[in-house]
Parts: sequence; C-alpha cells; structure tokens
Amino acid sequence: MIHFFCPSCWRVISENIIICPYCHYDLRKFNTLGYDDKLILSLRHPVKEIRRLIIFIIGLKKLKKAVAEFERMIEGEDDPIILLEIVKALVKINSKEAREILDKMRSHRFQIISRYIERIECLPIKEFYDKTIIFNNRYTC
Amino acid sequence: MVMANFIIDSIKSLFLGATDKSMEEIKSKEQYGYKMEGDVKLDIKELNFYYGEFKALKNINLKIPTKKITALIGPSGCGKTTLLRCFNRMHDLYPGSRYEGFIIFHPDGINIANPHIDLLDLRRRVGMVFQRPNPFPKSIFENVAYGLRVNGVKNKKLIEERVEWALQSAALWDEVKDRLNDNAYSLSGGQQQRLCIARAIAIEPDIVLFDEPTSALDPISTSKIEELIMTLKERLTIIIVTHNMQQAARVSDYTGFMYLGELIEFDKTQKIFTVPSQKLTEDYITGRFG
Amino acid sequence: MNKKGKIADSKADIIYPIVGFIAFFLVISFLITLIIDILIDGFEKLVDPSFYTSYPSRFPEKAGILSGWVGTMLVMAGAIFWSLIIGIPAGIYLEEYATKRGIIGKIESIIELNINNLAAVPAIIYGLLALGIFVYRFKFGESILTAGLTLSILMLPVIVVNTREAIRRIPRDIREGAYAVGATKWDTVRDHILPYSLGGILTGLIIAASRAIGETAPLVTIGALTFIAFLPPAPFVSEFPFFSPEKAWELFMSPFTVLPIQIFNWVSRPQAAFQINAAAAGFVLLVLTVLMNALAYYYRQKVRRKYIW
Repeated sequence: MIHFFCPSCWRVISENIIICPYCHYDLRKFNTLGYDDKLILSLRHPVKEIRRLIIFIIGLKKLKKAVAEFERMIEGEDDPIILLEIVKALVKINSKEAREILDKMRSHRFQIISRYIERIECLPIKEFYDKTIIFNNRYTC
Repeated sequence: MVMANFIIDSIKSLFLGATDKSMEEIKSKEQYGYKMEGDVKLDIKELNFYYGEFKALKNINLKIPTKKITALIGPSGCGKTTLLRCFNRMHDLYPGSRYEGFIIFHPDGINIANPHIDLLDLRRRVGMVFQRPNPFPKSIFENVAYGLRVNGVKNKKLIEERVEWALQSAALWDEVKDRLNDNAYSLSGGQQQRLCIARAIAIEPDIVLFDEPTSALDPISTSKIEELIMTLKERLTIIIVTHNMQQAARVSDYTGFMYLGELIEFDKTQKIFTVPSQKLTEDYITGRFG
Repeated sequence: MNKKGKIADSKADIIYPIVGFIAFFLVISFLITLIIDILIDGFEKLVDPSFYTSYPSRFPEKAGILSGWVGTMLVMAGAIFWSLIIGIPAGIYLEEYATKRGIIGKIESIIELNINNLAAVPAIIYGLLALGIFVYRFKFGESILTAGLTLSILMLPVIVVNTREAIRRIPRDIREGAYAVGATKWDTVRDHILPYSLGGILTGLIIAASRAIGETAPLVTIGALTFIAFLPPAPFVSEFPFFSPEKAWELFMSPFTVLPIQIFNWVSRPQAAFQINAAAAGFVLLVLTVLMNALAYYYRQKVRRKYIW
C-alpha cells in the first residue's frame, strides 16, 4: 500500500489528483518545482523521521534558502532530536543568518542543544564538519 | 572443431540454461549511468523475477560494488526485499518462484539466477541477516557453530576459534564469553541480532545481505548494529534493505531506489540524497508518497 | 472493579460463568464418582499384592491381572513404537517435502484430506483390517506384534496431524535462518524441525495412546485371548550380549491379553466376586493411563520450555 500526500497540507490524497481537495494546492505547480524547493516544502512533513532526513539532506546540500524555514521551525519545535538535527544543518550551512540563529540558540532551554553548540563552536570549521558527519546520529555528542 | 564447439555449447545451454553468446549480447548493451569505484561483486543484468504469474521484479540492471555497503530503499511492496532474497535464492524455499536474466557473481562469474547452480555453496558464500532476530533455540555457541557444522567443519578446536572470532567481529564476545552455553533466547533483541550477524559471518561469506536488520530493535541497539555493519565492510560486501532512509544515508556508500518492482535510480548515496536525477526519487525522499 | 464496577453489569457476564461452572462440575463429578466407586469396589483386591502377580483363574479369589498388565504394557510399547516410526516421518514428509504439484501432488493432497477422516473411522474397522492384513496375509498370528501394529494404525492419524501442526508452529524465520547458512533440507529437519516440534508430537502421542490403551474391539477382532496363564518369554539371557533375537521374536509372536479384555471378561461372569476383580483391574487401567499422561506431560513441558518463540 502506497500513500500519496498533498505536498502542502500533507493529507492523504489519491495519486492522480491535480488540485488538493483539502487545501486547493495546485499539484501541477508542485511538479515544476526543483528538488531544493521540494525539500523546503517537506520540512512541514507530518512524519518526524522524514522531517529529520530532510533537515539532514538540507545540511548536506548547504541550502541557504532553508534558513528562514528553520528559524520558523525552531519556534514551534518541541522535539530535541529534530532541533539537534536543525542545529547540525545550520552549522553546515554556516551562512550569516545561520550563525545568528545558532548564536540565539546558545541559551536554548534544552541543554542538549546549548551544550552541543558550545562544544562545536571551539572547533575549527573543517574538523568540526568531519565530526558532524561521522556522529550525525549520536544523540549524545 | 566448430562442430565440437557447437555441441559443447548446446550441452552447456542444456544444463546451464543460457549460452555464452546471449551473455555477450547483454554485455555489449551495458549502459549504466554511474561511476563505480573498485571491483564489481554482483552484476545484475535484465533480471526479472516472478511469484507464480506475478512479475515482482522488472528488468533490474545494477552493479553491486565489492567491500562497500549498498542500500536498497523504496516504499513497502516495491520489491527491495524480493531483490535481496534473489541474491541467495531464498525464494527457492517456496514454490512458484522463477528467475529470468543474470546475477553474475564475481570473481567466479557464476550466474546466481541459474536454476541449476549449487544452492548450498551459494548460501555459504552469501550470508543473510533477517528482519526479526532469528537465533536458533540452542546455546549461543551452537548458534554460531551451526553454519560451520553444516558445512562439514568437524575439528573442535577450529570451531571454537571460529566462533570466538565471529563473536568478536560481531562485537558480542565480551558480553557473552562467560555464558556461551546459555540459550540464545536469554539475550536481548539487539544482542540476538548481533548473534545472527555472528552466525552469518562465521562461515566467512563474500556477501552479507541485511533485510531491514534494525526494524525490530530499539534506537541504541540500532546504532550498535549500524556501527557493526560499517566495520564489517572492510572485509565483506554488504547489501542492506531498509525502509529507514536516514539509515541508508548514514551507513551506505551506494543507494538504489526501487518503486513497483523497478530500479528507478542507483548511485552514490550522497548523490541520491542531494541531487537525485529522477523525479520519483525526489518525491520519495521528500515524503510525497510512501 | 468486581462488585461495583460497570464491567459485570451485562447479564450474559453473570449467567455464563454459572452455566459453565455447572457443566464443568457435572463432568468432573461423574469422573470423580466413577473413580471413587471402582476404588471402593475393588479396594480389597487392589491392596492384595498377589492380585498383580497371579494369572487369571476360575476362582475369583485366586484370579489376578499379571498377564493383563504385562500384555497391555507390551502391546502399548509396540503400538507407540510403530506409530512413531511411521507417523513422524509421514508428518514431516507432508509438511516439509510434499511437492503439491503434478501427479504426486494430487496423491499427496488426497492423502492429506483422508488423514483426518481416518481418525474418525470406528476402531472395529481397524480390527477387521488388521485381521485381514496382519493375521491372514502376513501370518503374524494372534500375537503381540499384530496387536501393536493394529493399535498403531489406530494412533497414526492423530500422530500425523499433531506432528504437522507442531511443525507448522515453528516460525518461518528459523527455517530460513538454517537454510541461509547453507544447511540442506535434511540438516534442517534433523537439527531444527524435529527437535523443536517434539513437544507437539508428544502431545499427539498422549492423545493417541490414551485412546488406544482402552481399546478392546480391534484386539478382540484379531483374536486376543481372554484367558492366559503364562507370560511371554523375556528376551534376555544370562550370557553376553544378554539379548537373544530368537527369544525376542518369540515374545513378539506370543499370544496375549490386555487389561480391558480381562475386565470385560470378568464383568460378564455371573459370580459377584469377579465384579470386585473387574473394578480393581479397571482402577489399575486408569492409573496406567494417568501415569502415561503424566510422564508425557512432564516431558513435553520440559521440551516446550526450551522452545518458546
């Protein structure tokens, strides 16, 4: 059984629908989107595992476009694992906006986040990239 | 001379099911779009697989690299497990399965899809770890030794050495060395799965197939198994089926995306996830369907 | 939760346990009454050691069940032996090897269908079958061997069905795990299928043997005697190797009686004293059945505890 989701409101729709019956999103528009835009849309995916993967991929691709979306996500996110994944992605993107967000998160209410930022900020950029790639699944590092 | 060759060929084709000629034809049609580093272990060409009348795999073309981790991803029912179980011919246990095409096992050049090959030898060289830990209800020692025993190893000392080696390779030795005679069911789920990995590598296969090895395990056990798989690739070729894309991204060097019995895209893992070339792959990774 | 909770409010929930308990109590009370009754009736004989060590006699006070219980033991041993060596391989074949294709597959499916029917065939029909085949065709005579074979046919369907069910309970993963390390089919059957299904097979054996131990009709049909004043020869000799095949053959071919026939014989006598003997012998038969069950149960639990999926 394969389920199809509307890429805008993420409700289950059937495969060949053109306009989403729930949110009236035009799927023809979706089909013209590039991979980067699709990734950013999927940051609202209801399944946490997929969200986490998308954040990870955005980190790999160093997508600067996604930083604003990350900022929005950090506001409402309660899951430390997702937050940690976002932090890792932001570190990899390493743009001016990304650094600003990281700076703000230094005093985040989750210790796991604030400690992580503290620990990596003292590493030179190159070494710290390697570390994040190797340890990208360790909740503890 | 020509006559003799012809006769030999026709006898060969009678027994092996395929002539060398058709092999060459297919070789000349090679058209895989990705670059491969190192040697090819399994060369899959125009593979079709049927359950009775149902065509479960459609024209799969794929090269599995040696001593690398290859992941197969895709939505459930896409045929990734079916493809995996072709590599050690597990389907043959059940009636109604039929293979067409070639799975060339390098360096010997055996065609795994040939119905007349020696299955016992194949399964000795292509080990498998299953979705649910499935140790035998015997002692921990016997579980690992079983593969050696059925393959005719009689020397007790040798068996003991191999069992210790396998358990150490599976990062389980320190946890079980004092209770090798306990029943394997006294172990935790993650330990049981590592025991199954030890059982699979004890007979020193060339390839180990992992069929969603961590789907029944907790996160800590999962990360242990993943670490173990990454260390095993120094010695073995590993093919892993997983529905957890993050796992594929974490552990694998190459990734194949399958959909409805077809291989849609196969490439380096980094490339599949960052710049997929097919729209279907994009949509699957971004969670548009699943 | 019981008294004030809402769960027990439904009428069915109150009535059903009461009805169920009454039904259960009825059955149990019949059984207990029966046991107590024959125990009381046969008590004076049961405590008399010579009852177990003397042969049947015309005089009720001298009559014993020696040939009866020895015969029952020997016949049951034979029946269990034959039914196991035929039934287990048959069950394993049908479950593991049967191809289910072609002409052989057709035959297999007919056999499969009829195994369950066989269990429902009246015992006396098996007696007639055994009379025709073992007594007249193979000339085994009215012997312990014939009796064992006859009862084994009776037990066979139950054992085959239970063997198959026990095999089917073994998870597919375990089998695949064995094949995946290069085991042959025979390796898998010998090292996994057979040992893991032993618990279920023993359950089948209990059910089958408990039914067979009380069977009278087929044994009467093949010509079991009611009056035997000797024991079959023991197949042991004093010199090495302490076992003589000739004597063993003699044992297999000797005439026999069994406890149920002995009981039937005594019950049909007019003298009241024989009724006491019958009750006592009945109690012995019951104890034998219970002992057999207990032994098999104990062993089965031991096996089962080892293999829990």
